[in-house]
Amino acid sequence: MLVGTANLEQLAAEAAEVPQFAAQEIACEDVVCLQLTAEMPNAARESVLPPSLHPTVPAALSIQVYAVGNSPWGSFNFATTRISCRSGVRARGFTTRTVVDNPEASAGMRSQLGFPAVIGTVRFRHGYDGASVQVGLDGRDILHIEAIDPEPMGLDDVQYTGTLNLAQTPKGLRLMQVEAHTQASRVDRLQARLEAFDSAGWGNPLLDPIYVIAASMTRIQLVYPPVRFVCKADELAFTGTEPVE
Amino acid sequence: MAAQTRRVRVGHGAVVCVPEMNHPVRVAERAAALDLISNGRLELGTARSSTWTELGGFEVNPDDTKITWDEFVRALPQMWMQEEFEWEGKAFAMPRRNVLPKPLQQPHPPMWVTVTSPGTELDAAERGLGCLGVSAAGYEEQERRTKEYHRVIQNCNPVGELVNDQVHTMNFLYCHEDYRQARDIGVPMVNAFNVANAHLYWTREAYPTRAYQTLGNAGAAMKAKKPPADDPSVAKGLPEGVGVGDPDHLVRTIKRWESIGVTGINFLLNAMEMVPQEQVLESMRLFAREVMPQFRNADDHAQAVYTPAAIEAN
Repeated sequence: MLVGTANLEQLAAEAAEVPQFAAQEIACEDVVCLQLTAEMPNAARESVLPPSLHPTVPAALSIQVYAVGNSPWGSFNFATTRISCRSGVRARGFTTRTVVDNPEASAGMRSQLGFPAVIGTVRFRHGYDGASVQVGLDGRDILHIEAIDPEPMGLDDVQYTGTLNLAQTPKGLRLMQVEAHTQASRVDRLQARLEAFDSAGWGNPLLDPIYVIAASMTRIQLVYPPVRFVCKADELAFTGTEPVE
Repeated sequence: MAAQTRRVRVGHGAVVCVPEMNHPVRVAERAAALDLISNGRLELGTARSSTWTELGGFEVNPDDTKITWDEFVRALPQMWMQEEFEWEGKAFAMPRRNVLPKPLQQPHPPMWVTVTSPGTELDAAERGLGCLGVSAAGYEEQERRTKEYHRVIQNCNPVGELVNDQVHTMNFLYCHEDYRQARDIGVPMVNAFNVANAHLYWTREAYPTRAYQTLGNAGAAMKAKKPPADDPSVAKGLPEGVGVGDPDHLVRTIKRWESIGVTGINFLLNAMEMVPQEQVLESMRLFAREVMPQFRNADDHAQAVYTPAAIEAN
């Protein structure tokens, strides 16, 4: 059995502060989501995850870029990088960093959902012929994706796994299990090229997407319900999972 | 094992039927050779893989695997039965050849399909193939799938010359006189297998496609029900339907599976070397002594323990 070996203190350095668990859902409307999956070198698979999580074989990550038309924080774009992993036997993505182009949304995602959000630029052009993404942070370009040739798919043909965000919560340092309920009205699969990926900019110099697997673009309604479970970051999910009352 | 045993059926664990991984002629040859070595005891499992771990390694397009699997299961019986075989398809093409050796069983060995995604049991039924469930499902879900399978197979269009209408499931086995010891040793074994299995990177997670609608075995495991309060396994702290417990518990459990139409169970005896070999052997001996005699054919040493029924298709 493989388990994460990352140093928790280092991982926690950028952890969001969640003063209280939100009781209300957060609804985002008119959302376009581009998701790209890629394999990473297996050599880094354990060292990028906290000790509560198991890596996948092969090691993989997913990059998600969202254009949100309307939300409690207004319209905004954000991009997030997640390491594919398992919490117990469940498929999850462990967030390394989230870049948001709207300060209010960034603050809300940190304090209510535990995303390790920072403010940057997220340019997300999407159209009938494909998509283009450029993300900037502290004056550096940290992500550039070009995706072409959209191919219509069924509305259930894309999988979004739950997200785990390491955050300082009322229960202490925990992985917050953020579920995203999505309802798609359009799904396309695209041919994507990862033109640039700055691993340090995404929170961990060991991240290295060496082989792009696939990309999809969806039009969705996105709802984040109140967080129901958190997990101790240094204990396996079987014993370390706690309900949020 | 095929050469050293005489009575047990020999299951050729599911062959992944995509041409990038296995050419169908090679599959036919290997299976026929195994049938000869085992003196006609082969059961051939077919599959298409549900993990990017495997499919990605061979650069297989996940959209195509159901199509190529379908071609394979239609071509294999013809390769075994015909002196001159030729094929022109999407998965493969070949000019006329005699594929050798031919299997011993006539008309050909029984074929199976591993069922991970819900609905694949119907693909099996439509083609007259046995249903080999490999994902965890509770009694209720398995009963629903089994009924549907038997309903559909009555009007199947068999891919070969025999219909294999059997339903097998996968389970774990650890048997001990003291259910507490069985639980303390067997349940961690089950959990270790499930966690190790979950390390696989599911195709659906990696690749948007209509061909894979669930997260492999893990998806089914997550939906498995906890045992109802009147299930005797609850009192013993054991999960529903899992073959871990004392002989009495195992007899009850297997009879319950049998009552909902399951005709055979493939037991995993160990996982991740969690159980020392001597304890595995003790578990098997106890199972053979106390549990197996409670079931059909267990005392009939002259016959194979399991022989698939060949039925006439409508």
